[in-house]
Amino acid sequence: MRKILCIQLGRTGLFLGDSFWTALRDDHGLKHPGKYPSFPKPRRFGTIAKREAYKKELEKYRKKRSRYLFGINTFFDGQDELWYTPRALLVDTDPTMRDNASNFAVPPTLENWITGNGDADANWAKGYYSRGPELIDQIVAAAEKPALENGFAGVILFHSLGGGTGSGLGTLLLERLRAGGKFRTIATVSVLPSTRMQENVLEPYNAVLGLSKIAKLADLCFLVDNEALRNLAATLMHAADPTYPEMNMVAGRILTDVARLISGIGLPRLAGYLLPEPWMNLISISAARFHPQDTSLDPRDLLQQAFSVHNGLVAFPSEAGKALVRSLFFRGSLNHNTAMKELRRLQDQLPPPFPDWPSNYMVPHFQTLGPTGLKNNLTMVSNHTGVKTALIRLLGEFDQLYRKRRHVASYTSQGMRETEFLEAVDAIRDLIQAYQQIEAQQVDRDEDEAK
Amino acid sequence: MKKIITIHIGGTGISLGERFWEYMFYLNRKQSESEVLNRFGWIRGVHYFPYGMYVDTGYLGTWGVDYLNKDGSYRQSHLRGSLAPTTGWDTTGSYAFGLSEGGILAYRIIRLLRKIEDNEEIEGFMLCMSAAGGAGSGIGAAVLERLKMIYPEKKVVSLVVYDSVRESRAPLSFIYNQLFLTQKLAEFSDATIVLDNHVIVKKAESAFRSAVPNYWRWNQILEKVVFRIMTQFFSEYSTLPGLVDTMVQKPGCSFLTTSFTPIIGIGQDPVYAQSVDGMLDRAFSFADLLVDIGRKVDRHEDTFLGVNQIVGGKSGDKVSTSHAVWMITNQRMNALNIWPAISTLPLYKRTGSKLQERPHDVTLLMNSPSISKDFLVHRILDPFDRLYARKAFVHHTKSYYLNEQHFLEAREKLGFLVQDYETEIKTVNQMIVDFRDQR
Repeated sequence: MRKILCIQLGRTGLFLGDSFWTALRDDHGLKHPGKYPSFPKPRRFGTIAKREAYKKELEKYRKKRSRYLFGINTFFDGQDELWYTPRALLVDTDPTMRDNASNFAVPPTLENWITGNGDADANWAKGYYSRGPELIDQIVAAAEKPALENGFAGVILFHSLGGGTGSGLGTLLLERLRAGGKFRTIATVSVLPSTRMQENVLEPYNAVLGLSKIAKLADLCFLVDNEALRNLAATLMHAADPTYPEMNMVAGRILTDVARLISGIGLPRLAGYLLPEPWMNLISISAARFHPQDTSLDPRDLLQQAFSVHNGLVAFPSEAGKALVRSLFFRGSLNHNTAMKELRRLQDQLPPPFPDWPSNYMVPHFQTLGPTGLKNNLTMVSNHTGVKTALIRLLGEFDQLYRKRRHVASYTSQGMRETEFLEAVDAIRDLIQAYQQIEAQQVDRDEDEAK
Repeated sequence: MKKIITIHIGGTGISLGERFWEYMFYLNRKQSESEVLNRFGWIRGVHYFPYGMYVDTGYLGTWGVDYLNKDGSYRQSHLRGSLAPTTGWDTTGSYAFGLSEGGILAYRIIRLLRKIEDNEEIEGFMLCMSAAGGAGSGIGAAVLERLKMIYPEKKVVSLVVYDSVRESRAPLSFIYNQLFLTQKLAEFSDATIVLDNHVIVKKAESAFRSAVPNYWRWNQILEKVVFRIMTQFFSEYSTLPGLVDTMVQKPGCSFLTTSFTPIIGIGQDPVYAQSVDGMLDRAFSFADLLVDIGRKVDRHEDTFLGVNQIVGGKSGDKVSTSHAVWMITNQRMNALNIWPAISTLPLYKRTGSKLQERPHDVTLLMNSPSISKDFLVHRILDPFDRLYARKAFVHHTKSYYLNEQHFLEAREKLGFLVQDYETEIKTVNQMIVDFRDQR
């Protein structure tokens, strides 16, 4: 009883969500429209021995199926063992996006698609002030309808912070969902824009305006930094310039492992693990490399890769800040004993974030079912102060634009006050400062002890 | 005959309870007239229906009410409706949430108890839960409080599993959960049997030769202790009020600690495990104490109010009595009394278990104020003070009804409890000296 609704918002949200659902569907062993392959029943048995063999095979099949479908009710709606459809709500202000729907993993119905009449033009103010309010009542009604079911845990919002719909309408939607109070946990998967693959100049504005509010509204905020994701996809796909579908595929695979973790322990419980204080809700994800060539890795290699700079969805060196809490999710066949020993060795090597911090701040989880196409993998979800590097970069990009007040008029013309820019920047700066304070605490305490 | 009602709360409580009832039915198969079973269940036709209740908020993975309803192995044998209490939500390791859900669950439990009350007399309650989880601590506290309110004269004994700071996979706010539950236990529970995962994990690591955190393995050790204690004290020769009266002198100072010898894996053959005397020596050197207090226990330095020494296995009665008398008369231990006891019932042989079965085993259940005091300080108050100084994870435990005032209140009350324990140590020491002078 830990059902979760996924809302995919804006173009990035739709495409990222699509690759997420495709990967999650494969992970649960579902074939295209959402059916787990059934076991063929022969018409008649020739001999008793054959019938016995059939029974054994059937038993094997049932065991395998229960392993694959474990926790499927978290993300999928479905009749028992018949038909599973993603519990998703697809929203965009741009009506043309519906044309892509036939290729999507989420089968389009009248209930799960909501589109507006015009584009938000990658403008936060349009999404928040002019285009968004037209749709918002419809979205909130559709989102809160399943929340009345028993044991409904929360909602995950897939969106980008660079776009108008994802950022502007996303902020508005989160405000309404918070005010409604129907969901226990509200999480977001937020894609941070990067100047290296910029689509429009307004991205830094949108990201700062959106993130400053979303960081206060959401319980958990899984960050996907486009720059880190691009590098990750480039290495994995052997492409100098990875395309968006390739990047989405990589992110979808990693998010699938996180989804499996969530269906194992529940979203509110994960929030309980990860948040020492409610404001520290920016979560970074990293995974061991899942290149098809190295399908099987030792626990030691897995840990090494997951702690590496290059394998995170937000790129920062692991030593740079402090990891307050870490949740490590080992999947597939690997020696659990060795994994635990390696983890403890690592725990002894790394200094704890604070001298008096509880010693189980790195929590291992195991699942024997491996990810599709791989023998084993490790996904790490951590609350690390290093996410501030992404915020600092974002603020720098924002300042470059805002120094000469470029494009400010296109925001104010939508009914936005200009002071909102300053408020947003202050909020992000406070966040960075708070992270820096936490990093500095260790030094002070050490000095105290030395005295 | 008077009945004992067992209430299993939360994932840990239910998984232990499932094992306990499995053992009960195993005993019933072994011995056609099991007195133990008469105490826990009643006969209807040829079937036994245990007085067991499983309480949980919702789906908990492998163990939980959903599991029991779906394919729990002894589902058929349970009283219909006694499985039911659930609200469909996950407490997510939050004490506040468990407490608020616990109100309605306690009401449902009491409604079920009224049905039993009409026919039979209730002797007391046995609660089984973990202190770390939200369900175990929150619902446990709510149920304790309401049970004591409605049945003030009935005794309540709780069996509580404390989680290890090193191995716990609960959210880190479990440190607050166990503080709150411990405070409620001191207030409302007549006796609390403390089992500590911190030690059990270490024992499991050496016995199973594996560092993997695995509840299946830990429970194999836990269940042995629980079987011995439950079957000993709830047999027809002793009563639940009797246990409380003999073990607990001062209300509040009611935390009992346990020890179990031998915990060894297949292929291991230490010298002490070869004879009952060796195991008794080992038990009274407190190497197998199932509580971590941050220091070594010395039987001459520490203070023991009473020790229940259970020798399990056949023909242990003479050894048990002579050992207890010898310990007291020769002043081998700073204890007021040692009660010899035996338990001839066989332990459940779990198929596929890598834990070794021995013909004899020794279980100690004791009330030692000095150990309990150090347990409170070392395992509950110290981690709380350290975490609460940073106010970390407080928001996960807090709610509208549970503000920071409650944190401080619970901390203060436990501080007073530690003071009580200090005076208790002095009085017990004085009693031991007086007793020795009389002799």
